[in-house]
Amino acid sequence: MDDMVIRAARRAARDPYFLAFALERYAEVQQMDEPALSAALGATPETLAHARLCKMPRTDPAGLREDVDRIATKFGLNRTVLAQAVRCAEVTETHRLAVEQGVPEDAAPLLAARDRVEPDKPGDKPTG
Amino acid sequence: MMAAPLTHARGGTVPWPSDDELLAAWRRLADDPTAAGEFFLLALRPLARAVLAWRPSTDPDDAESAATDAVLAFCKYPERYDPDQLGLPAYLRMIARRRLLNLFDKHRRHREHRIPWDAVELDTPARNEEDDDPPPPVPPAARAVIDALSEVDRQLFELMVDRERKTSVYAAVLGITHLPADEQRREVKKAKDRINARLKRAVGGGDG
Repeated sequence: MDDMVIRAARRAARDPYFLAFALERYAEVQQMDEPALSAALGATPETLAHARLCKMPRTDPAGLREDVDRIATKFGLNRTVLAQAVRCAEVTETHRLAVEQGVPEDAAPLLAARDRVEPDKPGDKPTG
Repeated sequence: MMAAPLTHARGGTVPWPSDDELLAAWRRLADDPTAAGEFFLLALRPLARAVLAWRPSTDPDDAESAATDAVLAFCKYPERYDPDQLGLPAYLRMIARRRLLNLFDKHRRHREHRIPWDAVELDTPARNEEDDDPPPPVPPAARAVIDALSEVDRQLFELMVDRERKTSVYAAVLGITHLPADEQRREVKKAKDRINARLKRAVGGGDG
């Protein structure tokens, strides 16, 4: 694996366009260091770098499911953790924007209400 | 495989993947959320080395940073690239060079004014937004001329597009930095005039 690509993937964490942003927020919230994040995702340093550089999955339920499936399948990642990371980033970003704009949190489109855990296999029912 | 550090690349270049390979990776960026990693693997290292070759005195970390920013921006807005206007490596080099110049400017402002880094960072996005703009359309006739330029002339042309004003930068590309300053200026002017004349002829504004 190209070490420059690994560094670039870490840098992508600044930009909500990339999945790296969600993985960074998730690791923060879960107080995970990089090895712990890798272990939770079932990733190697190489697949973690590739995953970080993926486009952030769409946020509508069908789009989220499709994109998470695609990423998880391609890199052999735990799709439940991946979906949780995306939802986590949505919630923290929504909260941050609400605070910045002075909007009451309950007026913001809180996605926490949709914070269900996606099933681990396509076809399984969601858990929440 | 762990690739060699960029510092080993001073004065050298890394061949770009084939046009077909790059274009195929570019096309996947629009629809495939997993495609950016592959694009990085293909483009980042050749781009970083191209930046370093363009400005050999550049800190390799800055070259890598500019190249990384350029590829990140490219992956975000793949639809802005028009293959009929510019080859993909040239397009990426153009973005990366602007990023590098922004970085130099940021370093300079930091040195001159001792602005805290956080403030400099806050000031940067608005400037960088320009960098993501696609290049202005190039008439097809001029496109043919640009494609036919030698490697040195192509680098000079890209500097002109970037509105580089320093003679020393052009002189470095021409390999004439050992010449006296006034001779460098003459040679640089001659080279720029030659490229301008070819382009003008191509778009029908020819002055010979």
